[in-house]
Amino acid sequence: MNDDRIFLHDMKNMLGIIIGFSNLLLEGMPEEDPHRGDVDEIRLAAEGAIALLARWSQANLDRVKGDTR
Amino acid sequence: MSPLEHQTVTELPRATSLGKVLVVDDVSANVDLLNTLLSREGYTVLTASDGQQALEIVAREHPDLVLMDVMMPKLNGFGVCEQIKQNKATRLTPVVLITALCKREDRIQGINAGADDFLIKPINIHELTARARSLIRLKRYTDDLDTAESVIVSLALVIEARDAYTDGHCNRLADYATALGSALGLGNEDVAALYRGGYLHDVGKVGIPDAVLLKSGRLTQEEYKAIQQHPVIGDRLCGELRSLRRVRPIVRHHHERLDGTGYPDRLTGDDIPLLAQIMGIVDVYDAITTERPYKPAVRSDRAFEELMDEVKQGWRRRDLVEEFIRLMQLTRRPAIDTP
Repeated sequence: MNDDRIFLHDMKNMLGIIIGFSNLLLEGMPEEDPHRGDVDEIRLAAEGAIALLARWSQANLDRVKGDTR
Repeated sequence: MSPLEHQTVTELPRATSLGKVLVVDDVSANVDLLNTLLSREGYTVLTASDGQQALEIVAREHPDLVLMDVMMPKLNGFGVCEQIKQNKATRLTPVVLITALCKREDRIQGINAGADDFLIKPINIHELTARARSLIRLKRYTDDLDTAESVIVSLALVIEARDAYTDGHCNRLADYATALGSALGLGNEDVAALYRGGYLHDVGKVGIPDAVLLKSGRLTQEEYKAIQQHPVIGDRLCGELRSLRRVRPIVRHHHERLDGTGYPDRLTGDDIPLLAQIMGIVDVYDAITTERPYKPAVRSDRAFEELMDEVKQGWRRRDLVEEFIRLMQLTRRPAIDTP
């Protein structure tokens, strides 16, 4: 497995953990809890990072294709 | 978290547990997350931090489901999955591979390793519980089938135990029939069916009263009719079990004769399934060479003559009987020397 794939795997792994535990915290928090918004920000940031990773991965793939043409 | 801590079991009272799930991941936070999610849903969770540990737990604890990361050091998820699926004792355990990558080649490798399903990280709790529920339901169903089959085999052994004269009969028949089937070049599934058939061929005798089954004198016409019902009763008993579908023709037709004078369906010639014909031959041989309430044991060479007489009467296939005799003479089984 090349370094990019390992990096992609490990990053998604870590972000998955952040999202998973954020969801767990949110499910256990009452609606009026003042920290709800903070936890939600953590979850949204991790989801944003996963989207960024996907774009980075696609860009990498396009670059490799371009190099081999 | 230390490896020992990873082996902990989040125990719930058995009655309330939805099933036993083994979670395997080298990243402890992932294990903790899945453990929390599944325990909350009502599953009993076992955990392992590497492939080797996972194999040990699968063999020891027989989980209902394995949720496993693909990328692990040493033995990866594909390798563990392959070993679970190659082991006869664990091959029906559902395995879901969890991966942070979703490339097609990873899925193909997982399918080749025998994985039942895939989950992509980050894991959606609803998807996770839906898959777990569905796979565990399927596992329970196959477990029930296995249990049902073992009940029927036990029943057959109880019938054997009812009659002191037939002690070891099922065992010998399974032995003779598989030897003949293998010598005839039959496939593995047919030979396996002959093995099971050896134990189950007379399971229908459970429905025959002791007074008839164990009678030492001559049977009345009514009693003989009752005895002739045992293949039909046995067929009905095995009827609902998919795992016994190859055994059913043996159970129903092992008393048929090529000329149509057998029972229960009076089949003729090739209409009698081959496996049933094989069982019929070895059943007659064993009945002749062992003591019964109505007759003493007879030497095996006399049994061979009787089998050849049955060939001449048009009851049995010559090639099958000759192959059986050749095989028995070649292997010089103990029954040959029975006085």
